[in-house]
Amino acid sequence: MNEKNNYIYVNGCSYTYGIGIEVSEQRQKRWATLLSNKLGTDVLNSACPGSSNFRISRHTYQDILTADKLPSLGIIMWSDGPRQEYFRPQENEYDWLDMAQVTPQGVGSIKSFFHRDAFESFFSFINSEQRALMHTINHMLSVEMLFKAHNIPLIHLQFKSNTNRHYRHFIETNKDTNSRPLRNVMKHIEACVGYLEKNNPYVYGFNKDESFGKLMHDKQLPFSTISLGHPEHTCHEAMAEWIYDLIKSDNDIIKRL
Amino acid sequence: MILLNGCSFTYGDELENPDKERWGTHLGELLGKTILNKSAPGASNSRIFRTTMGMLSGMEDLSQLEGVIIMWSAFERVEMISLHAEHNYDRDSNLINSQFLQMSPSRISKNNRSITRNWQAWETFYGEIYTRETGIVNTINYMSWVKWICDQLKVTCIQGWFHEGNRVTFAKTFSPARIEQLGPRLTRIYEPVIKKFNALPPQCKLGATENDGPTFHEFTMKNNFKLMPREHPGPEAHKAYGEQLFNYIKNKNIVFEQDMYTPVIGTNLPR
Repeated sequence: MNEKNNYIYVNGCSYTYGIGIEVSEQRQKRWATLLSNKLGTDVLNSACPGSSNFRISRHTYQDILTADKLPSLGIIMWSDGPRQEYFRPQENEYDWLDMAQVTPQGVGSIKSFFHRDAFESFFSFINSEQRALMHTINHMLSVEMLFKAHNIPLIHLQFKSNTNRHYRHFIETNKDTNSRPLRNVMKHIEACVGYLEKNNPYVYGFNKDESFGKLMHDKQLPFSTISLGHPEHTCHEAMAEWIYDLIKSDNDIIKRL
Repeated sequence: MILLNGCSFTYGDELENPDKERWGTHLGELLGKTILNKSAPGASNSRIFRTTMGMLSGMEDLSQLEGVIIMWSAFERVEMISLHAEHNYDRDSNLINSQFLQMSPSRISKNNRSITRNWQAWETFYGEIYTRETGIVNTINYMSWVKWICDQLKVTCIQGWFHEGNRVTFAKTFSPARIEQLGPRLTRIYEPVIKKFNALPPQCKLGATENDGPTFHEFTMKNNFKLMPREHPGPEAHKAYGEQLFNYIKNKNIVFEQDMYTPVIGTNLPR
């Protein structure tokens, strides 16, 4: 492996950004940096806290298509499917981002009563598990094609096992359904997942349930005391180790780094 | 084979025999090419992108693919999954896959083409959540991604906007007055959008600027062609628009052949 000649590209949400680690140590101790140290490469980390999968794919395309030098490896840690992104100039709680990233859990903290009310209604009546799953898969497909076209290996990870839960729940509970709409959605989702898994051995979240959250659960690693619900720095070490173990046995990836 | 995608204007909604009478079929006949029309009435740009990507990602046979023509729909339409046939349009016809609800503000009003439930949730969605900028960002991203992927697949790509209303929305949204009023909050969106938009060649912006030809709707109105009861272009307009596109393709020397492009970036997507 070269010393700092190559770089890995990562994108994701707060789990990739490093929320939960002391701010002064965030850049050094998040999993992407730890992994790049192990690999002897640089890292370009485009993650943003609260990210929707819409933002992740949008910025990944933007970063890769405008890159002076292409990365040797891409790792996308996909976020929670129900999250949305909207441009909302009326409010300032997200004014550090180009588009507001709205999470179902964060709706309660939206300042405007009317927007809060509208998002509560959106997540209760309009959005659905199936839609979240479908959009996540669509983003994964688009980004898969971007990396495939550049001949760059790509690892699809999940921040938590939410995508797997949506997928399992949807398929298992509806496998014997007589409903035509349900059967059609299932057919569409299974075709996309089948394509992804057939073409890339590193697609996690569907039939292979691996995620940062699951790793923490399996190894009984603690959540951060700085930001509840986020991994602390020891979790990031474990995540970096897990990805390192995954790719060190892949000669194709190792040769590129 | 040329893949076509779009909304009702590309589907040929309200035509007696859409398969035979729509502009895509006329264009295919003039070019001597097989047309695979994936469009659907009411389609949102999310749906157009999703189904195009499904095709281009190789889930369907691409070996004969020579070109992609997409007429993008209205920015404000969104796609949701509906398992309850909550759309009158879905219940009344077999035209679109009813599990994918193509929603637009016009479908909230209580008429025979509206949704059948969740009016209030949709009203608040369009009143409080949806913004024009969001729709524009998504559409321009879709356009530039489709162009880029077509280049990688070495297939010719033509894109346009179905209706000049999109052009008006685009101009209003990014007017100098709004840019001045909203400052960096808007320029953060505007700058990448306009960069991507300008990078598209004219053949990928049909009807999207006044210099790049009329939209299908504009073409129909300017030439006084008959409109159907729900204001879709009639059969004469479809035939003439197919011819107009054919002439455009000929005049610009746009060729639909397999493997015609030499891509600049990347290593090509396998087909």
